[in-house]
Amino acid sequence: MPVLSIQSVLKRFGDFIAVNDVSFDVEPSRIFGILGPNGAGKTSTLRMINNITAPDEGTITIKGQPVSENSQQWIGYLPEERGLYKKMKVGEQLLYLSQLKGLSKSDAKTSINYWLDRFEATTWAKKEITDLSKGMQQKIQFIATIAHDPEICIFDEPFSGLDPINSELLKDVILELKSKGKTIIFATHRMEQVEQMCDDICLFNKGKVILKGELNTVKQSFGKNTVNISFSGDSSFLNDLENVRVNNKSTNFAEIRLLEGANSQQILRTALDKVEIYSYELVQPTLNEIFISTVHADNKLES
Amino acid sequence: MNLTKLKIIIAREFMSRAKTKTFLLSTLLTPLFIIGITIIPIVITNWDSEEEIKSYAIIDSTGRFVNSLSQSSPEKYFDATNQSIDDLKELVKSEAIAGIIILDNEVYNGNTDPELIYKNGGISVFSDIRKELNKVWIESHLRAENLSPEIQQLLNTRLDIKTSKLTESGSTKEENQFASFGLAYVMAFTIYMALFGYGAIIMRSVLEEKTSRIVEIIISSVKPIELMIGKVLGVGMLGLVQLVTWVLMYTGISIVAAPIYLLFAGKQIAQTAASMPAQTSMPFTLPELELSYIILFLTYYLLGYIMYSSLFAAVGSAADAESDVQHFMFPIMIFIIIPMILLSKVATDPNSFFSVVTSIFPLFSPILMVTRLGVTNVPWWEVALSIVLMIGMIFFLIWMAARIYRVGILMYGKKPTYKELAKWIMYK
Repeated sequence: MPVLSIQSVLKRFGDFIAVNDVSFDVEPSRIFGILGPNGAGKTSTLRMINNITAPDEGTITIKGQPVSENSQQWIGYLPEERGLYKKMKVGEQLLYLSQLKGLSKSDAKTSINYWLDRFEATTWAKKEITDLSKGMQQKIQFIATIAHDPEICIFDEPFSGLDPINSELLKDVILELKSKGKTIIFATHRMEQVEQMCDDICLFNKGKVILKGELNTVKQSFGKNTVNISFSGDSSFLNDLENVRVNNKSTNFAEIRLLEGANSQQILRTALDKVEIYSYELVQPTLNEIFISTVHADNKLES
Repeated sequence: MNLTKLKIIIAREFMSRAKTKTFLLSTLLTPLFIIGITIIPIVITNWDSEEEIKSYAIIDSTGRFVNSLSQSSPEKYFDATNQSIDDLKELVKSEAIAGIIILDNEVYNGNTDPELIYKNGGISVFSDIRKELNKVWIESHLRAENLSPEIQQLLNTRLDIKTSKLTESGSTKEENQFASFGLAYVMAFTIYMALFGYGAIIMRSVLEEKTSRIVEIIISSVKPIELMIGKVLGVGMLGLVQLVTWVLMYTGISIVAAPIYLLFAGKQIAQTAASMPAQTSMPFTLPELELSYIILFLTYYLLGYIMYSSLFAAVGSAADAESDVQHFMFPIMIFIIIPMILLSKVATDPNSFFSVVTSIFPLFSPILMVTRLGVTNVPWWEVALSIVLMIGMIFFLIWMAARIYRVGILMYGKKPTYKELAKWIMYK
């Protein structure tokens, strides 16, 4: 049974439809990526899952129950717009937030101590947030999200604004949570981490789900339609290729997406004439490429 | 409404402020400050009068005034009719005497005013002299008419009014009308300040949660209305603690004020006691606070606070920065300021139709009803009606504010128009 199920959900703000007939299921102990450009309806959807706003139509069930005050306690939510009380001590702040999530005072203390220890932050408990560095504040923010040991963790743009060390740390924590059987939901428009971590994805555009499924299945369905080429020499030949889209171009590497009518052998011959080739490989598209081409196709369809 | 979580929110909102030095200092120092600005001038005035009294030279060519003047206050007036005015002027210049008063037949006949030549002096000095000259002037005329001393005394008598208020229970209580006026003003002003002060605290706190971006984390655990009400009640408790402290301090002060005053002014009272009929030992009395008035005052304070603070919360949620709030504050401020403008009209004529209606209008009640309660006996049904109307108003305003609030706290970037605020209220 899916731990989270969204059925035909619609959310309006005045005349604007932010989420339009969205349905998807999230299975337990999976990492689920919600992708999409800015303004695609990701955050609106997450807010409805968190019972912050209510859908105008459709249903959202968590562990088989409609969202409610109760289901809020099973979720740890790291919103895109996040922060903490600046003038409150770290320990008191975490205690307050965990108690609001339904933990008893003593349970909250035990859990907070565990996580402060895990993040090597025990000595900060008596400090106010303003006295901490940006990176330290980010760690406290994670602890605030997961201290009540939620079954579902929802992270909205979790890596934005994180320094590389905290990015790694968060990744480790997420994998640790997954290994403990927690369900993770990501919302992001940055593909690299999603590609490395997600089991399932769901792609939003203009309030609708335009692609969803297991990550590998999705990628396979696009076939081996991408050429990775590394070379040395004048890269201007890339501009003359027909029926392709060149992504990720750098001085000696290019990712070439083959479109309708393109011939990979023809491209190889052209390249051989112009530059010295180190490697040439036909591969599955990257998630980034899938994202871009699907959103483009969807936008064209609309116009 | 989840009461456990509400309690946690109230506790945080209360404790995080009660623990600050600002709160402690403002609670203890505000009354001291108010006492300071009322008592110190009185004490200073009294100290002033204890200075060595310099005398006035009387040049009385009629001989009708000088004796009564120098008899009634020999240290203040002396007869200088036979001395040269130039010599006396030198004495005034060197401050050996305070001044010269010239009285002649024209003065006696009422054709001119007496002349006072002086170097230093103030309004209170002149008004004292004017009173004394008036008295001897009338006396001299009465004497000239050969009226009997009894009649002379009758004509010199000035009547005052002794006021006593008939209370609901039927007992009359002697009360100083000026004091209860003053009290009503102070109480109304306290509520006015509290509405603004605590309203601003609520507003800033909502704004801070919004700008620090913690609010979305909190409302993923509790309902926005729970956060809003918890905040309103937490800060309201803070205000209640402060007010109760002040009432206790006031009671304490009114008990010890008389002895302290005597300590400062004892000498002067001893001097005047002989010449004055035994009367008040203090130039003013602190009106006694009745328990029923305190309870009603606190009730109106609390209801008024809740009514307005939810509006301030809505304003804080609609704004993005403190600079935006002025725009939305205006309509709220109007409703707090209007009763202050009406205050003196209501206080001077508390039972007029106008006063009754304005004091029952819920948004004005906290200030105007407290004023009326201070100066008159308000029929119980008017009090009950105004409380019922305020409670109704509270439900309506909290409902409206909460609907603006739950949308506003998640809106960043653009300043909403009033039309948009109205739309927010209608969102599902």
